[in-house]
Amino acid sequence: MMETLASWLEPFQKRRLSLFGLCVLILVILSAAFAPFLSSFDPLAMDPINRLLSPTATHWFGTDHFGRDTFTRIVYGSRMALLIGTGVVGFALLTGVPIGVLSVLFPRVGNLMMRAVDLLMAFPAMLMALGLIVILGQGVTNAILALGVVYLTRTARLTYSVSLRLKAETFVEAGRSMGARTWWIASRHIVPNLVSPLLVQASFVFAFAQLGAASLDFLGLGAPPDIPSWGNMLAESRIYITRAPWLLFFPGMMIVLTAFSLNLVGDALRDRLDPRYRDEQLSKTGKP
Amino acid sequence: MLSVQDLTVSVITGKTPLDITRNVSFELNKGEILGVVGESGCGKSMTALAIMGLLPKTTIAVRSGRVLLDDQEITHLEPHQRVDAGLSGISMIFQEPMTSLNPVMQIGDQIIEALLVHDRGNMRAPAARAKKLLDLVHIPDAAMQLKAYPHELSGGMRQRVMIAIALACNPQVLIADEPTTALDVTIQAEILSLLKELCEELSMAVLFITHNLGVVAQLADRVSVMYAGQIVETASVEVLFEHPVHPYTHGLFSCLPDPTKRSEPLQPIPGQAPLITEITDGCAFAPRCKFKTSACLSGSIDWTGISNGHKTRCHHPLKEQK
Amino acid sequence: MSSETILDVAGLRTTFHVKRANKKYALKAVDNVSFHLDKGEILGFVGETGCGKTTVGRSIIKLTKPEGGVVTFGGNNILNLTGRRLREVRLKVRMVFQDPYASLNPRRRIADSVAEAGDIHKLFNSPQDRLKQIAETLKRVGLDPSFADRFPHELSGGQRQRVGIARALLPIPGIIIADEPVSALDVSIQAQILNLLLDLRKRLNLAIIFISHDLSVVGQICDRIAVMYLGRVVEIGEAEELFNRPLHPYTQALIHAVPKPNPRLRIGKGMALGEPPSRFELKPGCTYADRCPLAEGVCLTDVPEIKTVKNAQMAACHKL
Ligand SMILES: Nc1ncnc2c1ncn2[C@@H]1O[C@H](COP(=O)(O)OP(=O)(O)OP(=O)(O)O)[C@@H](O)[C@H]1O
Ligand SMILES: Nc1ncnc2c1ncn2[C@@H]1O[C@H](COP(=O)(O)OP(=O)(O)OP(=O)(O)O)[C@@H](O)[C@H]1O
Ligand SMILES: [Mg+2]
Ligand SMILES: [Mg+2]
Repeated sequence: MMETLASWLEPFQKRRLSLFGLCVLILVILSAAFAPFLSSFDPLAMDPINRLLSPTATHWFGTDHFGRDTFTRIVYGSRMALLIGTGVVGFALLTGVPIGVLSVLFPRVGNLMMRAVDLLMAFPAMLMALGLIVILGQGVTNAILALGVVYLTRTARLTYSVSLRLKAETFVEAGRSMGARTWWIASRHIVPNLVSPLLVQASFVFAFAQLGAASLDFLGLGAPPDIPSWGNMLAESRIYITRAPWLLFFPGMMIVLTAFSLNLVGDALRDRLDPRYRDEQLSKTGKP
Repeated sequence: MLSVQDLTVSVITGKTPLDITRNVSFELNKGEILGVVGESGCGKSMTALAIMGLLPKTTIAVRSGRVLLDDQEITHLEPHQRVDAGLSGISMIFQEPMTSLNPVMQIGDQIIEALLVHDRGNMRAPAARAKKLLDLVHIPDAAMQLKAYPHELSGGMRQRVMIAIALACNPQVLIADEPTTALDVTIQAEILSLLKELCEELSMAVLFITHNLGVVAQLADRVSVMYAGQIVETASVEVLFEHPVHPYTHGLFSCLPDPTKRSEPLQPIPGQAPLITEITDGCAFAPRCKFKTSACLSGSIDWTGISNGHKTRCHHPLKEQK
Repeated sequence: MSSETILDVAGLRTTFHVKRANKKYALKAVDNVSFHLDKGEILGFVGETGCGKTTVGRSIIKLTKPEGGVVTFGGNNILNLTGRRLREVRLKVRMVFQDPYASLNPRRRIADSVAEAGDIHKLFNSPQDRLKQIAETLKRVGLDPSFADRFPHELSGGQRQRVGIARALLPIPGIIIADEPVSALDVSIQAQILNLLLDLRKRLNLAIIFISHDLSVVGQICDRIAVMYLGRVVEIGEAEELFNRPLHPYTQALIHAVPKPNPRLRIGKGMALGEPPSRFELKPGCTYADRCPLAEGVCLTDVPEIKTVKNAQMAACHKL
């Protein structure tokens, strides 16, 4: 048990930046879990007397135009961030990967599916998300769905192109030459080799989902305004950019920081998951 | 003409430099073909790139030793500095003719480009000279083929075009790094006889790198055998093939398939070549050698002269037998 | 065909339909190829690149679907089999691939690669049985059973090719089709692998189809050799006979062009064979005619049939 944990942490030792990313992510997760303990303020409580305060000892990140404590709202906002991120990534992977893999294994149907995916990808991501929200209606679940569909297309495309390459590999051929069926090829040869490209992709999707959700919130189409989310906070305080720039700085920084950290962690995880990278250090020094 | 002295090429990214080649020395005379043989990874290509000044100097570089062309040191000159200094006397052809040619450019233009680089832009009738070069490497319909794209040519033709490009700068020395490995035997035979002919006609020196002992026997005047980054034996081709004295050279010969001796099983050299990180003091071949003694395990192994022009890095060179 | 014959191929034809420069071509990669393979025999296929050697091997087990012909194995025509029956045949006729690195899935351990056929066909009674058989098979090819837990990148080229051969030996097949199994290897490792194949043949009475473009390798280990040229077998016969007394002018040229490791036997000039013709638009007559020094009249109009010339040696040439 300790050993497996150690082996997962090992790539982080080699990559200082990834370690930093991991710490940021753990902080975000912890703050989502223990939000009420981290701050004595109520994220929704208004305090008109103390509106637009700059950062002080009591209000670390200042207050917004209703006098709500920004730090508290950032902490509570991490809940929404994680929900959106995991939701979108989960949806995109669960739908996109099967579509991509099946399209490769059954080329006739697959070609058609990929044309459909191409068609959807022709729309700019945000425009498509907006269109879907218009159809589905406003709300957190629908925002996740809309963004999920947008990234489904990208995931399916990536899966398709990688699987297509894998299908032509000699080891797939070797499997077929011993009588392997399609299902065997997919589960033993294709999917395991998709893990590292998809992991990187997933960290991207997670990051872009944050930005996407923030934009939807910003336009008033995502989380309802009373729920603290980083996007909402940006949207509400945009008119105070000159008077109270910290109102934009802190949520903006959190979005960027989380997205960045995820990419870094994704990189390190790839090292752990792919045997070729796993022993990169070993093979560099040349020992078999 | 070309003189390489104690060339050590190393990977310089780690804390301590890792030597890919160690103290490689040889002389190449006018009109001579020197064959360099050795197994994959023994440092043949790195030696060639070092001579050409084409090493990626930030990761792999010449750590010590010198390369002299006509007694002028060129070790640390970049290719463009060599052109500026009028020392562009070395050309190189590579193993894979397709990847070294630009797929979207007509071969005529690619040859002219090479001509212009070396003549610094002021040359008359480059197209005519390009055609002459194609004639020189025996491409039929040279005038028409100038307009062909690389994919329209067969592998053997492409390799001829590569040779033509290499000849564009009137090289005194041509380095050929496994130029026929990707080709069929029949086409290989043609390229080999072309190289031989060019070497005689233009009295050019050729450094021919290969892992195929047969090819070396066909073409080379002298042979150097490389093992784990070092030249371990040098001799004229007749002497080396008749009387190899280094146990490694000897081992190479006994694992060559010979259809006329089918009943005798091949005798592979036991074990495998060391990685560059595994090389320790002493003779790199010692772990696989049946003649090793404690003397082989430490210190550096110096050259032992066997006869005129035949020398080996071995404490126990084999006696007259094969 | 003797009673010992394990595989008989008659009139095998495989055509690829390819599009080049907006024109469709029917590329006859394998054209009317016939041969037989006896138990415990090594049959070599040689020829220039693109002459169809690999396609012959792949067509036999229907990895590429042939257009016509009969491949008799175990009393059945493999080309008519589908589904479960075909998959069972593929268990008995196994392939070894050229590139020992590419043919192993980099994410699977050696054990999983070696046991793959057994896993696909659910041949193992228990995990212990599986481990035991993996260890046994690895030992067969001269690898320590501890290699089972490694990944392909942790092995050297020669060790990988041993694994490539090991995976074709579990369960022990009747025939191995080895497609250029030593072309990617250095001479010393090549010699080890060739010795291994000879040894396996002796111990397990395997029949091997050995594909290679290296005539000296084929000459060293094969009992019989088939020489291919542009999709056709132009000569087939006992290895020694074929080497010492080649009949077909192409075989002669091929043997002559092999660079002999002897500086006193240099190939003279004027050996030029010219370039092989385009595979897309074959002229009528003998495919070798435009490179052949003997070509005349009939050679340009009629395709030569392959016929027995002496004893067991067959060649396809009008001039014999
Ligand atoms: N960037 C690098 N870092 C570490 N080692 C390297 C690097 N590049 C090359 N090497 C090592 O340098 C050695 C020599 O390589 P080189 O390409 O010269 O071999 P070669 O003799 O030309 O082999 P081949 O016949 O396969 O072409 C090899 O062992 C290789 O692993
Ligand atoms: N899937 C394919 N589609 C179209 N053409 C193909 C395909 N596979 C092979 N060919 C063509 O069929 C011919 C025979 O190919 P094959 O791979 O059997 O040759 P080979 O003798 O094995 O050559 P090599 O020595 O290069 O491996 C070649 O001209 C090749 O271009
Ligand atoms: Mg090389
Ligand atoms: Mg092939």
